[in-house]
Amino acid sequence: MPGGRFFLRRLVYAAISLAILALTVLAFSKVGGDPVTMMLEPGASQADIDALRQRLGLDLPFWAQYLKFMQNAVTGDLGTSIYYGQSAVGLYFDRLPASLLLAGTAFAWSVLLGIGVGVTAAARPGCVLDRVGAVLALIGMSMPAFWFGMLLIMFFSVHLRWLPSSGSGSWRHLVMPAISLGWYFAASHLRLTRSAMLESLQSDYVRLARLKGMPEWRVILRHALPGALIPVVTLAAINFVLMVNAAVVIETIYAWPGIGRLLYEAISFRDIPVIQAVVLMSGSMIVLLNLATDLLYVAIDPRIRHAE
Amino acid sequence: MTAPLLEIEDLAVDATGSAGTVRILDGVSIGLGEGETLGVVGESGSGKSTLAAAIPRLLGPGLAISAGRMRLAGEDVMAMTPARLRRMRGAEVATILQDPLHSLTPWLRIGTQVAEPAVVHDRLSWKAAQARALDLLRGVWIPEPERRLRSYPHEMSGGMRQRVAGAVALSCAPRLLIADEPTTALDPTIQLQYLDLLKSLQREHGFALILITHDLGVVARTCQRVGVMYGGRFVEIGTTAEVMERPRHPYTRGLIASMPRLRSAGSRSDRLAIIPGQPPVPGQMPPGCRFHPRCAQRFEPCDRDSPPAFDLGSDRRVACWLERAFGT
Repeated sequence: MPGGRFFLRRLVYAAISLAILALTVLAFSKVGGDPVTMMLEPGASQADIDALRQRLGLDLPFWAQYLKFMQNAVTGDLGTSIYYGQSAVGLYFDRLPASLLLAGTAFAWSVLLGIGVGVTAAARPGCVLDRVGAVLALIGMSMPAFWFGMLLIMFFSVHLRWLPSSGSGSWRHLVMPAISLGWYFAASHLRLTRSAMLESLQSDYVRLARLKGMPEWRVILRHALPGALIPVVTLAAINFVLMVNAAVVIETIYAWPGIGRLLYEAISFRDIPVIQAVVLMSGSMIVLLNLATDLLYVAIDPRIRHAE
Repeated sequence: MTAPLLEIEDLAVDATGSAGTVRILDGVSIGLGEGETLGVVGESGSGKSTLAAAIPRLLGPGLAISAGRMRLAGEDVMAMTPARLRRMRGAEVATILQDPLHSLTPWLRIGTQVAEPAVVHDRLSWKAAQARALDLLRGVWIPEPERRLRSYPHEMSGGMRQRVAGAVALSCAPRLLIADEPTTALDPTIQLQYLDLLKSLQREHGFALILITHDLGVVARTCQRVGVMYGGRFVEIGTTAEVMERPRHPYTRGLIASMPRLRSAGSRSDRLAIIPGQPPVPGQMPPGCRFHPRCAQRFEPCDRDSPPAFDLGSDRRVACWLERAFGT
């Protein structure tokens, strides 16, 4: 089966990407300074420092450290948080459900709105929806999330008193963070969908579909859209990972107990194992989702299976 | 003479862009009876593909019909509503495009693409339309048609895909088929086969055919009548035999002289004649007759006044001042 080999090859690529990511993460954590000096009291004796170094394996050459790191990573051990004293991976998974809820909501509305408005705007360039969409996309792409988040709090929490300004626990807590988080991504989905659709609509096969007298909805949805979806799916998958793992600003503003806030805290405390865990986990998620989108491409465009 | 299926009078198409408005087609008139075949010949930029797009009224962005009348079986095409136009396209006027590699939708199965006009225009169920699609694929000489229904375009060769395009076009039994350079992208041996297929389909289904090409040899094989286009106008139109054997317009004569043909060894001229100069670019049309800068026989009125189409009888028209000077 050709699909099987396709999948296997992609799997090998995924493993290579992850190994390189781990190498980069480890190398950068070395640049950030000696973690031992942060873990011990100021004025600790040289003997204590050396003992801790040895215990953490920091006295070994870099390559040996990398192998050790990889070995532990494969068994799901990315070290212990310096600040919390808990397993870094455990902390990540504790925070994952909250982040998935927030990112899932933001992702859903940003994809539905982005693709919907993008397709409509491309079908009738210059129509009202196209112009409104262009303005909203411009605002979404250029307004900093922290500022937009604060504006929402000012308006809905302080002024109207409709929604709680921060925290989690009910759907009302979810509304503002999901809007703030999805705004930028909705704009990026909209712009890419629109430009990819405009290109697809100029193709010969769309021309022939129109020459066949197909109704316009069929021309757009069946003939033009699948070709435009391929770049959009790629972008959306990466955006989803960013929303889950890198909603640092939004989760901090709204005190949302997710991974973004964990990362923010870890960076403030220089809690290197936690930073490594978050970066590696989100990297793995990107690699896995890329694998999934590769399979999705094949479902959308049968040519890709044969191009292998 | 058969009843006119398509009548076009003084059709003009303008392109509007940032640089202003440019006339692409000017004063184009043709008449075509049921089941007739008209070849339209011209260099690239002569307006022949614009004409192919103007008849189903599906011109590209920035192009619009600015003048003229067009009737299909007596019905005013210019007055058709969007819904009527959609029905006309596909059900009455079908088109085959030049590039078979890009004119089929990559993610739809051949069966779907051949069947969908019957579903949309003839309101068949998908099942019945698939059965019709199977017959159509058989009709265009596609081997293993049952298997091909489930294939995707990229799984077929260019010649095969162009035959599929033929099946798509015939799906609702159109009265007029416009084939815009249908063989240009095909291998030479496949080209002849495809022209034979078109002719045999025409005998079987009885549609009228407008065959657009830059190749006079294709016209000679296929068409009863031929129109020669230059600079967005017809310069000469008549039966293929008349035009090929007794061309009257200097441009037509140049085209025929530049056709490669087999000659016996040692024949006196084995070099191809060429027409000097370049074809005109829309927007920079020379005044008067558009061919005069390249014409060896130009004389006093040619760079000043545009020649009208002189009617030489028996459906022969030539737009050249020589006709007034020496003609009938």
